[in-house]
Amino acid sequence: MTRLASGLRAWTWQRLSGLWLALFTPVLLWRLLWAPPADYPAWHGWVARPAITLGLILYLAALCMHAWVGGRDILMDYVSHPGARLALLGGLAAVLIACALGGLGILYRI
Amino acid sequence: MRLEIYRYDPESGAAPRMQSYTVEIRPGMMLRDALLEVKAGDETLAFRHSCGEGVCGSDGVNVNGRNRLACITPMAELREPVQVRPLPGRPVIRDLVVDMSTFYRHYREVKPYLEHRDPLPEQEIRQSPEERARLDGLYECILCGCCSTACPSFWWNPERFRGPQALLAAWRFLADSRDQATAERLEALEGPYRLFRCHSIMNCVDACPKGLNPTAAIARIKAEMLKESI
Repeated sequence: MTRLASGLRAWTWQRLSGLWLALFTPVLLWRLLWAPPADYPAWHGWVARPAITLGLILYLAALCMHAWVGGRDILMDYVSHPGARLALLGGLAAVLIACALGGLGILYRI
Repeated sequence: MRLEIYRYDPESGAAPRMQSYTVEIRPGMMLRDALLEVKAGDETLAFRHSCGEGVCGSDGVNVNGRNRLACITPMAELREPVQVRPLPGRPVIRDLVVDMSTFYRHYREVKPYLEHRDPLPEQEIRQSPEERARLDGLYECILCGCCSTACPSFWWNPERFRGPQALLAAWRFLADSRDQATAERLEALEGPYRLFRCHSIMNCVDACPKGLNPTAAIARIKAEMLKESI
């Protein structure tokens, strides 16, 4: 448990992922709210740029990592029963993996 | 002035209750003085106290929802009715007296003493003024427990999370230029619970009657741990 859930490693990933989320979220908000693509081809063209695709893949990974560490923290604090905690951690991992795979699938099709 | 004081005797089997008392306020009166007056009229009331000067750390209580030292809490500053409860999150032994053994165990676990591996010099181990200054804001802790018992992370994981007081003490020795057990101290704090249950809620900073900042100390430990791991 200690090696898998190392405190320093989780804390470091949370900070690193948070840094990328803080940097890239304004880019996404600016593009989607202040300069939204006029139509699907415009959106497709923007997302298909290598830098944006890479940024989005990293964003997806960072979002899932950040959510995993945050969700894990909440479950470690509030769910003391080992079985219930394990089941909820498994559920959280399944949801996040499904979201990550779904997001990667969208980017792959582009 | 009206006080509502938490009363509970686990051995009696009766449920906890708040009991009202009225105390005549004098200029400069502290909460400890008021509790002593209450006790003079009702000797069944139990609470800890000793020095009366904010030095021994014995009389930590929860006053109107905030952990404070009764001996340095002026009655004039308190909203009426003054609700006095035991420090939260700890088992109540009786009335305002709580079991602090877990708190002290965590303090012992961080080895709150210098570990010097080199042969000791003939005289004292010298420090520069800058090295000594690093200990300011760390050594002043009086172990009253106001910080750790105000910490939600300590409420949820009291057996495994060291708590703000013990972590402040851990940083006090990590920051000491005379200590030579940095790697061992950091290793002893690794893992998901002992250090990393702190989410910088900062209740400890708000509660500390000595104005210390355990959250900053904990952040320094995390940064030091990261630096050592690279």
